[in-house]
Amino acid sequence: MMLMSVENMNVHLGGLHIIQGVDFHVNEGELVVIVGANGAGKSTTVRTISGLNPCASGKVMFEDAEVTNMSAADIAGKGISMVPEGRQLFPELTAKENLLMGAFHYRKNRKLVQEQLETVYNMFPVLKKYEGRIASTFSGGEQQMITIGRGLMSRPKIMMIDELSLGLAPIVIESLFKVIKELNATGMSILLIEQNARQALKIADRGYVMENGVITMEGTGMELLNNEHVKSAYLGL
Amino acid sequence: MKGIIQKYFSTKRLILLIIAMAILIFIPALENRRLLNIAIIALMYVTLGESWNLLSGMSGLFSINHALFFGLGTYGVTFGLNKLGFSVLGSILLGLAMNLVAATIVGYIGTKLSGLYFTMAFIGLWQTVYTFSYQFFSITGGSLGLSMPRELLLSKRTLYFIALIMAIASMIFYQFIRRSRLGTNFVALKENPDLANALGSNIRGYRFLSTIISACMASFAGSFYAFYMMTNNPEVFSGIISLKIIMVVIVGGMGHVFGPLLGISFVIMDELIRGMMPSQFAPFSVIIYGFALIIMAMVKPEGLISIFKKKPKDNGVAAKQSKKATA
Amino acid sequence: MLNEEMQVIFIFIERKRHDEFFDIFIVQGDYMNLSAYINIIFNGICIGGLYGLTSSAWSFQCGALKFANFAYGASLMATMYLTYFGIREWNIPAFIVMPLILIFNFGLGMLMRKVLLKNENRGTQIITTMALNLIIINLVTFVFTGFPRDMALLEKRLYITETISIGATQFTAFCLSAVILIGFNTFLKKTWTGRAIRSVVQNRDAATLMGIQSEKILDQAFALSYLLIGISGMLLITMFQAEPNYGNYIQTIAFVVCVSAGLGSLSGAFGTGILVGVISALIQTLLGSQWNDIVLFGLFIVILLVRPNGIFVSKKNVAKTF
Repeated sequence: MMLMSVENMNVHLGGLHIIQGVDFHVNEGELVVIVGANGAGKSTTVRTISGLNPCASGKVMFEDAEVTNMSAADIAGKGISMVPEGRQLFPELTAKENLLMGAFHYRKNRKLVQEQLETVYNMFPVLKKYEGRIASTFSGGEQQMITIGRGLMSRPKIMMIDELSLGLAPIVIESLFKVIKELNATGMSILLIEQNARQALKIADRGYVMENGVITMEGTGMELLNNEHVKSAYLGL
Repeated sequence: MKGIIQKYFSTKRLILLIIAMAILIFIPALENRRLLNIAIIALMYVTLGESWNLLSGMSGLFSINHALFFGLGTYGVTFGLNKLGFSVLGSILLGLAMNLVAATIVGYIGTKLSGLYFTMAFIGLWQTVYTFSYQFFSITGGSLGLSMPRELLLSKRTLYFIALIMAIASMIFYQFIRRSRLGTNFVALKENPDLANALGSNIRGYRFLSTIISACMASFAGSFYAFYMMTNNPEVFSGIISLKIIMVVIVGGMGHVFGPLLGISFVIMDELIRGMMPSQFAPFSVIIYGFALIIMAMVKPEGLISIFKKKPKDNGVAAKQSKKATA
Repeated sequence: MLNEEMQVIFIFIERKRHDEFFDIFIVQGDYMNLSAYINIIFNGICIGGLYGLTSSAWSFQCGALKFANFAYGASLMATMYLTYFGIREWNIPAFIVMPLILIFNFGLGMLMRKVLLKNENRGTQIITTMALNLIIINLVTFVFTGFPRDMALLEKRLYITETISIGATQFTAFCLSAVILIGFNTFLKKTWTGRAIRSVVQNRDAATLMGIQSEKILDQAFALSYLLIGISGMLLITMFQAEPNYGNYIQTIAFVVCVSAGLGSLSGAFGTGILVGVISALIQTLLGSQWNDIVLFGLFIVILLVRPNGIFVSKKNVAKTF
């Protein structure tokens, strides 16, 4: 069943027509990946879905309701969670406080917040261990864990993760991708934006290739991994 | 010679300037005392405006108590002549020296730290000097201030021409700096400090220099004011004067040599109104000007000069860029 | 020009403005003994605590919310005048005046934020708030006249020993300042709204993603900080006299305190406030009240040159921006 779909999205930024008629969708429980080179427009797309950029034309549908151009706060409340590019933490808050902020839109329900916090701690035990430390003092990989955990705290129906692997060591990237796969196995729908095509497509159910603001290819993870163009352009083979 | 003039002033501007000068030179001939006074004050504010223009308009440092520099110039002259027995030149230099000290302090802070700290240090310095001039009666004459020796009283006509020369000099000086290597550096500094820094521009040095130069210009205006008023008091540091200086530049147009020239229309209006109103209403006029500045700064920060500026040419760059994205 | 009457007033201001009551500690024609010193220091601590509260609002506005509000001093001064007039001239009972003042300040803060501080350009903020500063000063002069106003509260002293005492007003102000600051700090740290404020300040986009309405939060935070100004103003008028330029003076003190503590640090502001209070008290008794501004400003410059991030703060690149 289709959970979220984007139809003919057009976005203008800084006077340039960046996203030109993009279509894709995510079904329930799927792990969908969008790969593409730097500057292809992937981040802009998810930022627009989240409500941080205005969408000039086109539709974003979520659970059969239109959420195009809703305010970012409302979209978060609907169950769409975004883990932004560059690990956008709250640098001076503790790890625990960072996580708690994810639960902001249902903060009145203390029990639920506590439950969700426990779930996240189970997934990332290192965060529980150092929950009182200031977020900016964590390593890159741990910071990424905090942002993913924070995204989880909002009890989303779909998580959009932008550039998970940017600036991280390979071994850290591998463990993070494992976590994402496990998360997806629990039933969470995930939209993953990645430059690191190989690792992303390996765990993906389906994938899209975005180039210069348009979707150029679509297929299952395996299909794309074996595709000649993808192999030469993005896998370095 | 003509080449130099052409370099700094376009032909159109030159003609306008000559006409303006012709008018200005004839003003004393009208023998209207009040008009002369207003003209003198207005011209002084041109100098002050260019001084603020240089500092804030070009290097992006906002001095909100510019009257500090102005007042130090005034006190330098009166103190030097009254208490220290300096010559006229010596007193003016004393004013300059005090301003150099003040400018060095705030300028250095402005270069090391951000514009916010510059403003804070400036306000602190202003506050100290202001209360100092009130409290140290023996040195500064307290609230009564000091007076100038009678022999130095100049005729209004002389004062007028000094003010005129000062105003013209300040405008030429401003334009000279603006067009020079120094000025381009200043503007780069304001528009994109990181890039300017990366390209090797010595930002710190230029910022510091602009504070010093600005203070010196204001100092001369202050020294002139001492000769005009023949006395001074701590009110020479007042916020009202600072407000008027800022108004002159913001209303006229920041960053443009003729900005203050348009801005003094405000000063002229103020002087005319003040002549007509009883003194209790003085604070009331400041309130109006304050609101005017707020509105001006928020709605039309480019100032009145933008009416005369040509619109930037649209040579199709924007269209080309968007075409490239869709290719 | 100034006539003789005005001259008398200015001399009057010169003496009383920097709290005359330190004079009572100077033993007649003799050197000062230990009790006198202790009394002065205690007094300095109490007043310093109030300085801390007053400065904390600026620290919060400037350091945390990143708004340049140079109408700060004038707002304080206006609060002082309104409190004085409410209680002394218009004879409204204190328990009605106080909440009214707080409402006024909250409204003023909201108005400022929505009109003047909407534009994030710091230069514009500096100019517009400076203009507002002058507007408020002149409005007060116009409406209330420039004559300094004194609440003239009866000075009760709490005796610890025979010779050592603290003024009751000062001590109350100190305790209240401490309580309010602790309360505000707790609010920021432990409540959801407080956390939301800190989140918005640290990363506005991320906060929006969490479902926080960033602009509204900033409005509320700023208006809240104006409540601090309101309380500070009400406490200040109990100890010092109000005159139109007092705002500039206390603003400068706030600068010194905040920069020494590090912009944005609230608990630090309290501590450095006390330090400044003590130093100020000692200068005024030992050197004379005219030297107060000069020494404080001198220290200010030194701190700006040597330790601009705060005396006790480690060298983070906080202040080094263009």
